[in-house]
Amino acid sequence: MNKKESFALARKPSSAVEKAAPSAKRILSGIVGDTLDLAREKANKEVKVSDAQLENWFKTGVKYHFGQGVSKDNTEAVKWFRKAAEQNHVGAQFNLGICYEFGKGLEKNNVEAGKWYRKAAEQNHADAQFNLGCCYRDGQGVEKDYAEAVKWFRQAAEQGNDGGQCGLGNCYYNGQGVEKDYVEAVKWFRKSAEQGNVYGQNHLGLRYEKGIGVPLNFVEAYKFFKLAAEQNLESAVKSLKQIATRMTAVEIAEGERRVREFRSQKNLKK
Amino acid sequence: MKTTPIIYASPELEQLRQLVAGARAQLAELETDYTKEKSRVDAVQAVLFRLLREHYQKRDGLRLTVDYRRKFLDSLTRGDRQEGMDAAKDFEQAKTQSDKDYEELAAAADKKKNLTAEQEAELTQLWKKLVKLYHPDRFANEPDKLETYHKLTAAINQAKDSGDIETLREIAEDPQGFLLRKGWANLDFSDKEELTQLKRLHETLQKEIAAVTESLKDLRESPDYELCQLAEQKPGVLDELAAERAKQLEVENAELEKQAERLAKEIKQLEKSE
Repeated sequence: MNKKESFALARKPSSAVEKAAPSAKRILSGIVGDTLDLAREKANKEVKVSDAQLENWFKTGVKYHFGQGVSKDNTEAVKWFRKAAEQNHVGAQFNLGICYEFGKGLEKNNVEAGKWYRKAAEQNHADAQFNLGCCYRDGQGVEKDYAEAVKWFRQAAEQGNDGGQCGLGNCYYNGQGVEKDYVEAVKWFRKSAEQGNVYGQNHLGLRYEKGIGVPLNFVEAYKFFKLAAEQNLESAVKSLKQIATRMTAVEIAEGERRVREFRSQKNLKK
Repeated sequence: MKTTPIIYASPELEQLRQLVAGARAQLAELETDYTKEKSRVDAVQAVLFRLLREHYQKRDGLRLTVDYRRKFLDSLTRGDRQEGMDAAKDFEQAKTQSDKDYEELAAAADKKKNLTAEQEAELTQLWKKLVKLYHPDRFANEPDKLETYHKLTAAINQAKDSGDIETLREIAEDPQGFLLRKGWANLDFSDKEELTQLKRLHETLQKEIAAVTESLKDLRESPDYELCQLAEQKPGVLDELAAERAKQLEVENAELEKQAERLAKEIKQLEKSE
């Protein structure tokens, strides 16, 4: 409630609720908001909306979110995302989760973020699966649960999601929610790295550097550190400098060549 | 036939008087709408709060407990005693504040009653009288009187926002008597028949109209209003929604209780092993 003071000159809040602590006001608006959400959910189940209409709502939300052709307005974006999300539009569900996680257009709320990621993830939205996996891994908005994290990372990874692949690799590497398996870890880091995922590249570089789950290979380590460093990952910049001191000029040249090769192959795919 | 010519001291003054009267009528109407609608909105909110308070208070307490135990466990693992003590202190404070908030809201909700149809009808008459007390510039040069004026407008606002018809009536029927009973200074609310004074009054009335219009707009766009509309359109819907929400909260609370217990166990084990 942001009621303006009226009957001028009396600039103090008056009624008991208006005077109450902000925390009490939040309680009240929380109760009202939850109840309205429930009412909307119920109402939505009764009304059937066409797919075109849903897509339209979603797109309107995107327009407001990025300010495309309209003035940027995150609150308005959330309104449209929610409308579509409540009708099971998967993209809108994912975006609404993002809005909650980062507090865009509404108050930050990790539990709500998790709730909407799950809805989208269950509809096979790869990015949502990855994000939900992260929520479980970090215990953010849900109870920490590595097995659940692995489950969602895997689903995302198998759809070719680079974040999911890197996340899954990490779980294998640390033995979190799954039996420790360095070879399997490297397999997923590689998939992720080849798609240009900076963390995947860094992880793969580290594995080559120490020869864990893969034969030790400085040239390959150099290549992946360099690729990650080019994406401004600080630790990769350091690793790159360090490994270069332990390599011959010929080895470094070969590493550079492989970096160029990687880039040109990536450009070809584009 | 001869008609008696009416000679105005100043046609401009007469025109202003009419403008002021028109603005007052408009303001009275707006204030009436606002008081009525705010009162309805608050009444619905109070009903909902009473229905769900217990569940929400429990949930908030549990959330704080889980959060605290998690932090405490963290500090134990890291061997940071100070941090653990700080977390305990924060938890106590947050819990006390939360319980206090719920008490306050409950007290406010208990006081909240729906206006009767007669009371709603009476509001129009009351506001017609009350807007005549509106004279923000009148006491600008007399600090004592200005203070009284502020207190009076605050009293009106408070009565308006809490749907306190008795107080509105008391002030509207006999403002001087109200001031007297409060032991406040006497105020003269009559309009000064001067062009500049009336002009200023008219301008401030316009501003006030804009302000109340804005408040009304905000109110009508608020979630609280949406809820009120919903409750009025479908009688019984509030109870239905609250019952369903209560069930959801029971599930959530059971889950939180489990978490809290598990964390307590982990803490115990860690403390034993130390």
